[in-house]
Amino acid sequence: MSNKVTFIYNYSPSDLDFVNNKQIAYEGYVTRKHQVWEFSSKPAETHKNFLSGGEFDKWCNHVDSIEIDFQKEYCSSIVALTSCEGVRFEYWENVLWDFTDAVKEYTEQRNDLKEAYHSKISEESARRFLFLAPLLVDHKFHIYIDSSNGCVNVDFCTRDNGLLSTFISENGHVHYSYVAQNKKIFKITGTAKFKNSKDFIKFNKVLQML
Amino acid sequence: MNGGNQICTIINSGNASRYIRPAWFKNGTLSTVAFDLRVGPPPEGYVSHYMTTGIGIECFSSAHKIISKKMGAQTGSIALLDVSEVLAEVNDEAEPLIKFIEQGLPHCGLIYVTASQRQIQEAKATLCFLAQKNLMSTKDIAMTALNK
Repeated sequence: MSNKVTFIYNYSPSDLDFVNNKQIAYEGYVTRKHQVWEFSSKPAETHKNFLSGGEFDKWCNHVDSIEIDFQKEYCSSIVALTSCEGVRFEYWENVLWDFTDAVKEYTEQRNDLKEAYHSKISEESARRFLFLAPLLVDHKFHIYIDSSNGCVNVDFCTRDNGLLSTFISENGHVHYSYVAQNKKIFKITGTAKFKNSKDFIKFNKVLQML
Repeated sequence: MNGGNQICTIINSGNASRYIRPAWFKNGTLSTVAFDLRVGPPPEGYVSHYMTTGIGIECFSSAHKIISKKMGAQTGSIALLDVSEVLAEVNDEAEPLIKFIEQGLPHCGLIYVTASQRQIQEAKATLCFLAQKNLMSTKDIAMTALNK
């Protein structure tokens, strides 16, 4: 939900040298997320335009084309993702950095302990996570790598104090389970299956549960 | 499960405590990583819990004593799971998804008896939801014990 509001500020001479008791109108957008009102100078529609205006498809084409290599330090191939032309990252690049943090933490753990015990990061699971990455920007989430199979997991907190847990398997299936309580504990569990990378945008249908 | 031919006693009731590391909390929500199997070293076939006794804060204090003895002083939290409630909430399909088994009491293990990743994901999400409802930081447990 997003409402356009106008804030009026009074600036006194002590605040700004060149302003003398001037009223300034500052327009922006207020969005309610997780019971907190947040003010943003950009409308929520900007991200909607990103998703529907062809940038998502460009992003998927780019991810499809790159080699994902976790052997290199600091996931250089992931960092190179932000050079994708025609894609604006400023709204959601924090998602990529959270992912690289999770990969770095896992790689360090794997190096500290014997490698034989921790699975290698699944590159196909990671690739599918990257398709989903732009969809996560408006949500609170935790990314981690499952050490028993190297696959990416993302947990989200929901507006009703529940949990939506997702597991991105090597074969591209995204298993999800939403658990919360109304009168009793309820669960909505399923598997999202996409045969084309650009169809990952439809995972928004599941994220609407948040 | 470790030891293929061992007979393991199944636990169907009581309070199982689990130590929750600070890193397992993000944005105020407990992550499903809290109920992942530890791959090692050495690899585990179960998720470690400790059976505890008492009611309310006594139960947390008892769990804190046991866990501190086994793991040393910790800065995270302790979650208490009512085993019969957890089994009822998680094992709601034709075949059970999890079991609790003794591993040298008070140590016990939660094992996933299904190979389905979809079912394991649902079990972990349910466990997290239940754990977060009954959770206390080790700092608060220690303070409450001191104030008694």
